[in-house]
Amino acid sequence: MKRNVGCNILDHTVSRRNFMLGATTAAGFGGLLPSTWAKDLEGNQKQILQVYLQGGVSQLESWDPKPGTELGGPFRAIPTSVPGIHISELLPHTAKMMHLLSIVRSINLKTDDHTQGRLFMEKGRNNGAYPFVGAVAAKYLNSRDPSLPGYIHISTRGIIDDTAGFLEPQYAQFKLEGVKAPENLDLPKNISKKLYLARNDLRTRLDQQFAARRRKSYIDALGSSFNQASKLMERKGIFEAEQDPKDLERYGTHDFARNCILGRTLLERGATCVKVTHHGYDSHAENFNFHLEQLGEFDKTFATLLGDLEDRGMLEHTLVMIYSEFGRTPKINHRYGRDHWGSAWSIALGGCGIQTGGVVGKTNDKGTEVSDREVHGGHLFQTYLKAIGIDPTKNHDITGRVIPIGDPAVEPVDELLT
Amino acid sequence: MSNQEAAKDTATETPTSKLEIDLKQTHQIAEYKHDRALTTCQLDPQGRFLFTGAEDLHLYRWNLESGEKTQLTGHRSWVRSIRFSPDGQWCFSAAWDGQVGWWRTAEETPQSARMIEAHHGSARWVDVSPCGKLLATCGNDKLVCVWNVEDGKQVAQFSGHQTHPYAVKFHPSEKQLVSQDLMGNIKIWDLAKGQEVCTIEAPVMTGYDTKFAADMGGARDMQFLDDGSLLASAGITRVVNSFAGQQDPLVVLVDWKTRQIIRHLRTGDFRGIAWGVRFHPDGFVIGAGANQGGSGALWFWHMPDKEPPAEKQAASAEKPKAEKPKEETDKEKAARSGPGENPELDRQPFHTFKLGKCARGLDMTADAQRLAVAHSDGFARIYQLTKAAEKEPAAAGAEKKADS
Repeated sequence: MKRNVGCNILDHTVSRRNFMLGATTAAGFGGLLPSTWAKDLEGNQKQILQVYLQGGVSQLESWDPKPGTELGGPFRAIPTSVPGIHISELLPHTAKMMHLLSIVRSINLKTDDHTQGRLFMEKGRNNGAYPFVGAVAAKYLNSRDPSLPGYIHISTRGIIDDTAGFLEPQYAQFKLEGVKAPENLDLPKNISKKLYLARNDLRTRLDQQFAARRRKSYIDALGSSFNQASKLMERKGIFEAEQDPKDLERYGTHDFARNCILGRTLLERGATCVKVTHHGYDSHAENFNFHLEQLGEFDKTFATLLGDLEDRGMLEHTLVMIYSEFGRTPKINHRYGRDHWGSAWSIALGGCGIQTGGVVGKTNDKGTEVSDREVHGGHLFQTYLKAIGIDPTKNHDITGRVIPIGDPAVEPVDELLT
Repeated sequence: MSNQEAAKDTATETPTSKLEIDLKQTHQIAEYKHDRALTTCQLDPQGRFLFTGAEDLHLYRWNLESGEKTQLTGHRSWVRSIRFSPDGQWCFSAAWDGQVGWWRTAEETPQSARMIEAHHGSARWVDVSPCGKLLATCGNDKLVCVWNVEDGKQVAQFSGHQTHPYAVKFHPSEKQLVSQDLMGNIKIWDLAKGQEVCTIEAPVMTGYDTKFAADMGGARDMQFLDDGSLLASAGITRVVNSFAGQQDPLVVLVDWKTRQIIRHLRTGDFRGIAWGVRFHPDGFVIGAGANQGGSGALWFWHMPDKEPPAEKQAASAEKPKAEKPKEETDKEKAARSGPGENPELDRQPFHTFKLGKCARGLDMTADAQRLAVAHSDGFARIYQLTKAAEKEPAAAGAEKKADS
């Protein structure tokens, strides 16, 4: 297996040492994760690119094809850049980049529900108000450019989740509906820049006065929202800049392509976690035609994005996740559809901290059950965090309450990690 | 019921003379069971066999008289489309693996006489020219190709579809071809000049699912009237939530001379997809479809020139809707996915025959008295469009043959 040299052992060693030091001095708890710790990562900031295939991409039409079998569907498997690994013929461009990815083919979430599956995959817990992996990363990993929100989600549809959980609200996802600036970034016409600055100054002073008698974190959260809004107003151009025609030629001109180009730009500008959602995989009917169309959009665009991240050296510090809330049933229904299936499905990971070019786990011949190395959202959550240098065995410090970052009952998928 | 028993049933109703079509008497006379869902079906022109594709790697031949099932091996994926040479000697199949196969129809154990890599990605459809010398195919490489039956060599290639073409059909004149894609665009190609003649836009046959941000549409079957004056295309309309199968079946009739869509043949409250269409010589159009819930139907509509006065009067003076704009916004796409009623064009079936299971393919016998339907439960079923025939001596022979 090719090893990713971006996250070397020294990075983790230094980080862990300072992390423990900070924890000891901070509260006396053996394992609190102070937000200041993130400064250690300056100059080597870890980032995340999440590509979320919303609705539940079929593992049989993507990462775990079973051509010619009873439930395998009509598509064939193709070889990839990694000898011995085959994926669906619907992913020819991604197949050429397989050496930059690893596949997990043995996920069992024990749920077939969209929301439960999504939350389990994002939070690593199957219940409770825990933060999404993007929010955890936004809190604990420093940003080179704090003028951008730490956790940005680009999507063309609104799925409303409490992504920050019990973390401060500034770590919640910042939602962009495609390639356009967020609404209300311009000053009202009757307010000049000078007046705006004066009002902001007054608000800051009132906040400081108010904060003297109250818990600091509440005021910090409020203040950070104002600060973030101010900085976004200054950086509005990032979101609405015309995209390079050469990029559009390489990525495509559809919404997902444009969103991926924006995602790359945001990562380059220092956003800690960028999530790009591609919709349209909940194929209870016409599964094969829809996967042909949807993965046809995904494949070339994603492979181009992955190649760009590699060419620019960004994979060394960027974890790449391609995932869904579940997979799809091996059984094909009378509408040529596949239904929800959380029991035996796949994702792909690459980039920072991930040992690429491999496959973890497997399903049986029909794809109906996991036959080796079963994992669930909890294992994967810990794996994501460990890959970007956050120790999931440590604790959040939420105004004195100690809450484990990862589920203490499970461990990361070590064979995926460098 | 075993296939042999089914064949007995078929045989017992084999008419010795042509019976009068009586759609209210439509009934099932035979069924042939396979262990996987079927994908399509086609009767050989001589009425000896029914060929079916299935959700596996094979083509299947059913002897209609004996019920004998023969597996034809050679494809690497599901067979989507089957057609025969006019003399019935050759069968051609197109599969999701991009291959198109040549088979000797009546050979005891047919082997693929030729298998060509017709398309990169799936081969969606195959059709045979009326003279039997040419094949037309279309596939996921967005190409329409013409092949020489004799040697399997490509003789023409047409490009221009921006999305996947789903079906292709020779015009009876053999001078032109039609193909229809996901977005409903029907392209007419000139075989001699090797170029596109025109595009007939049929936006009613496609829809943009705003919730899932994807298009659905295209032809699921195409058929010309024998004289070439009308083209019928079966598919969908009124996309609401295609990911859950919520759309309506639709058969569109195109006047070949004017290139205008002249009828939208609808299906009442039935929700699903029209998977097959045939013109009946008695002056009606037959459609077959699959319901979202798992059942199916055969629909019967009057031909435009046979519509009773009451049906004509029901058509309002409303003009056909404007063609879709070239650059659509999401709102426009959503509007296109709406009901789209057009009283001037819309017609409902004058008769519907309910099917217990989804229909995925339709064909009609040469005498136009029977329909073959490929079903999602693995059965191919034969439906008689007349009252039940009395037992004939030939039937006894068939029983003996079947029993042996």
